[in-house]
Amino acid sequence: MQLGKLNNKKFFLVLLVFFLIILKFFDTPYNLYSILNWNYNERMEQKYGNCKNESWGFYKTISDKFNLERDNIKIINEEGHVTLENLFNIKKDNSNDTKYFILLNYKSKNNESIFNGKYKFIKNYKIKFRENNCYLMERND
Amino acid sequence: MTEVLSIFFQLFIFLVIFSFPLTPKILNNNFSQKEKFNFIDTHSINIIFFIYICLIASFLNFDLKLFFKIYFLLSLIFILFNYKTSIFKFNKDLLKIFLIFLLINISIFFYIGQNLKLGWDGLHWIEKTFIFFNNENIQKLSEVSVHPHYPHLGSYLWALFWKNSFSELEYFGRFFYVYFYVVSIFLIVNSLKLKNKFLELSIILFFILITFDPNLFAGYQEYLIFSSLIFASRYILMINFENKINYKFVFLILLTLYTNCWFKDEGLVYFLIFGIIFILFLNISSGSKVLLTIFTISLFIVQYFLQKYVIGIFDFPQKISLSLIFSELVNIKILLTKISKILIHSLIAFVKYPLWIIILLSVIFHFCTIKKFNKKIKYFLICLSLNLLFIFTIFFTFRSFDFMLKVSLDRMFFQTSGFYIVLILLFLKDIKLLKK
Repeated sequence: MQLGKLNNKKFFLVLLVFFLIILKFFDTPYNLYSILNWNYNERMEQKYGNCKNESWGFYKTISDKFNLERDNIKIINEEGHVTLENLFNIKKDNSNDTKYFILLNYKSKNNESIFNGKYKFIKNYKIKFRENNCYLMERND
Repeated sequence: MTEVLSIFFQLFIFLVIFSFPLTPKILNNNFSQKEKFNFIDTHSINIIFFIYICLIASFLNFDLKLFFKIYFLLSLIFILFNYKTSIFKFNKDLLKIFLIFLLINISIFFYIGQNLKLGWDGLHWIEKTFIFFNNENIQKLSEVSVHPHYPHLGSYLWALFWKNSFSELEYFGRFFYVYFYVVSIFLIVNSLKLKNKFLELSIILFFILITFDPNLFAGYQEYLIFSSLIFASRYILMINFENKINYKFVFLILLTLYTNCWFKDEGLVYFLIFGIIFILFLNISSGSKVLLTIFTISLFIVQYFLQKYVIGIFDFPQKISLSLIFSELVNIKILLTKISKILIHSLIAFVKYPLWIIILLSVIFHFCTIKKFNKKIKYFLICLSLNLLFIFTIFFTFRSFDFMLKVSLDRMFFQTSGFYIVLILLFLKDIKLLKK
């Protein structure tokens, strides 16, 4: 079979092979299924975690519940993952006296309270919202 | 289902807006080149045109929705009036290529739709994207937390298509990067003008398979430089360095290279290296060469002034200490350690992006099989040498040397690899492997 002289039927077959290679290489059927099956927020949570890894789900919950875009916020992810303030238009601030403080994936021992943990400045804050080991803290006025 | 339909609609939007304002007929009448512009060439030039309109719009703080609506409407009207010469009118052969083009685009769109996670750089570039997305003033770019001095055009394009997508979801903004990339691969392979469409599709697929890196679609800007350099190399291929040059074409090439300055800092170096060598290779008088060089440098100065005085910041991420470099150069131990580390990480980068291996093999075969190089090959070989020299030098000067080697050397290699695909194609042509 000479490459240059493919008739239409053969070319159609070749085209079909190309189609299959592309679909397989990019995992298109699964990606399509995933987009059809889970909405954007669910897929984001699958990738970033709710209260694990980057904890996208927790950011989403508190962003929807509270208006956080106006204030500078200190953010710590105890698992060392990158923080997602830019995805939620939140202004991150590393100082210890911000109005809000987000603590993600907090690691504690036994029944240790978050207020007795390693962050001393946390005593100036109260818990505004909590989900598992993720906290949104608000500074005491 | 709405999201899937939106993805298809996004592809339709790209097809429409990049079919405006030029057609092959307009281009061929204006440029009167020996080699004629076809659909894909025209489409690529329309993308460059659109990028420049976006660059201007970004400084004028136009409302993203309004700007997009006007541009889209103008494109639609234009297509209706020029239907016969638009991309939506195909012959049979083109249709087969077009189907594969659509399928690759849609497949990568779905891929991104499923793999939504942004990379480390992406999470910082998006800070700039948000400024445009929220229609805030361009001066706010100087206040972002990481690398405020980095150029903003990639972020602007991201914000524009995000804001104007049907679902208004973040990842739709990144589809432009995909479309730009896929067009560039089709464009460069199309330059071979193969009659054998099976062979053409095979080469396209081959390049897609070895240059597709999903991580770099996670908010990184590397594909923008990669693709714009492919665009530039395709236009350079159309030039005959021995003949008199059409100045419109020279400006088209220089302006295509110039877009790199607005994507990333290192784009400026690529623009100056590739642009000035290109001017030196042209068959024009010395006076004209000087004028074109002044034009090239003045484009850089324009960028400097716009960034410094309109945005409010112009800088480079790495501060170079000449005394430190000199002390390291004279210390043989440090010199050898650094060179060996750069070489090892370069090898890793070549394995990660095997396009480089093929490029280097083509260069070796060029030297082995072709005794006399033509000017085009010489041009690309000189660019390649200076490009590699630049990468070696810049990494040698980095203070956080080991860290930078690990996180950015591979990406720097990838960015420019697109420019040298022509070396592979020219080699294949020279050994008569690709019969038209």
